Amino acid sequence: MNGFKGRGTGFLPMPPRERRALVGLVLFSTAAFLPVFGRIELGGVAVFGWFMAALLVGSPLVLLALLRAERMAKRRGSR
Amino acid sequence: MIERWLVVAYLAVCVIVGILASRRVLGSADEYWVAGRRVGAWVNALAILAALASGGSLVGVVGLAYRDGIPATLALFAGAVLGFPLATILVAAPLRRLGRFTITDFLVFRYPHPVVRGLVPSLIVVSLTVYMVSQMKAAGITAEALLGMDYRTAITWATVVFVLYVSFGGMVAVTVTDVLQGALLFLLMGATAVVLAVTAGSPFAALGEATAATPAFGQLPAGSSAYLGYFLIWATAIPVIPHIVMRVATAKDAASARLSLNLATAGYGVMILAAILIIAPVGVLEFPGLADPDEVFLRVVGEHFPPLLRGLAVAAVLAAVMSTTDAFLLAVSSAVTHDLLGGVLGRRSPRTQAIVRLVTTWIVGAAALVWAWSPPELLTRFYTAGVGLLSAGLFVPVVLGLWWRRANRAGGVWALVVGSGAYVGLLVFGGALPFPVEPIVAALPLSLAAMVWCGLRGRPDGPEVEEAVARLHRD
Repeated sequence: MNGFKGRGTGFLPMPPRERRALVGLVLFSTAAFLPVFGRIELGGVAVFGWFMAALLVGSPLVLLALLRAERMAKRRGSR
Repeated sequence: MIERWLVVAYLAVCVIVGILASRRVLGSADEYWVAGRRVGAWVNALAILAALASGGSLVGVVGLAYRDGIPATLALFAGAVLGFPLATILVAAPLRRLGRFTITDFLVFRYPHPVVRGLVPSLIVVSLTVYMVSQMKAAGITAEALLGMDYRTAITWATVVFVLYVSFGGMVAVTVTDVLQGALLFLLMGATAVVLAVTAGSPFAALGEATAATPAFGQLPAGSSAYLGYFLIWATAIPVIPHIVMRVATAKDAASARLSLNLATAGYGVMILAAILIIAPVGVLEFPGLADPDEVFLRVVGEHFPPLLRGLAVAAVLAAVMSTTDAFLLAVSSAVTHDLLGGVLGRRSPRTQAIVRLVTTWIVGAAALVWAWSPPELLTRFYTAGVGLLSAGLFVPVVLGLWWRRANRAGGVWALVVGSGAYVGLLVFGGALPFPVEPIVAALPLSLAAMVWCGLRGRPDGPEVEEAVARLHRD
């Protein structure tokens, strides 16, 4: 899990918040593609579709929240 | 008649913007390609939204949902939207700090090799020209369906206009027109969805009726894994697709670039969701059995709106087409004049450089126009295949080149060659295999394997390269 952390792993370091957001989005997307979600339906639409709809609206919001948190942290750091 | 005047007025505004911008940009490569790197976050966000929301997004999204159902269509567009957070986290800030114009600039900086110099711009030219052709088709069928114009006449006029303002006005004209186009698009898609939802009594009334009448509309296509390919292509294309990378380069700084990417995506996500969940179901209910699914959106607009709004709809589809195509045209033009001919042109006078940029833009536009006179079927699938070529070839070299210390020149070159070669090979000959394979599903791991193999077995690039890359990650 610490693949992005540092020199020992061969990857350049990534801020922890961004690493968590990246891992979260990748895991969510991977889970959505599990075959079971293609078979179950909710409101006439496969649950896979609802996962994709959540990703469509949710992923930019997650990143906007992350950028805001980084901006706030920077402001606090500069005081 | 009023529809035609609205469209003429819209095209005239675009040309005027191009002429006004030409005074500022023709003498400077920095102004021409990246608008002097002064574009603020909100303006850039609207321009990115417009560039992303192509004719495919407006006309094609409804057509694809109509034909392949809601879940598969959502997968394609969710992939595109996921690509923006990936771009934000993985590439936006370091590419902006590099301070160059194009994705080729980064790849040549990271992997200086003749194959990279030649192959990357060639891939860009091929895949983005495919994309431009599909956009022109969207413009043509829109003008044909809503204005009663001849298809070829319509796309010829639209092409002349956008080539005119791109060739003379560069990124400044593209940004100004894209902001107008983004606003128009967002308004039209929003208004269409709201009117249809109010008419039906609730936003999801038509969705419930459509999935009850045609259960396949709410299900994944049986026996197909194409939706996985769509998703992967778009999620991996956005961080490397040239017109988005150029928009990142126009931002004032790295923070502004990252903010604008996600503001644009938030708006785009809402727009696409409205198209798939509100507009497409109305099309399924009212126009079953259409031979060309790309006509659904236009049929719905034609059925539910008076002439004035139909004119606005044509202008909005043209806006969607032109805002994407102008960005692509600029990217293709930069791939030829900056990436391929840059070494030769760099020694020429600014006037000669400006003339070559101008002529190249007209040649590329004319070539795409000739192809668009006999266009392929189903817009979204066609241009997604073109974009897949970029993802397959560029995603691994770009991302690992920025983040993996062991990435080296041999790895970058082989990842590029193996990824793009495998994609094209499977696209052309994949049908002959005994089992179905989505080209992108095989091409990306092969590209990754080539990079990892060379990185682990080959010689590292040296501490000076590592330091140069590490500098891109510092504020």
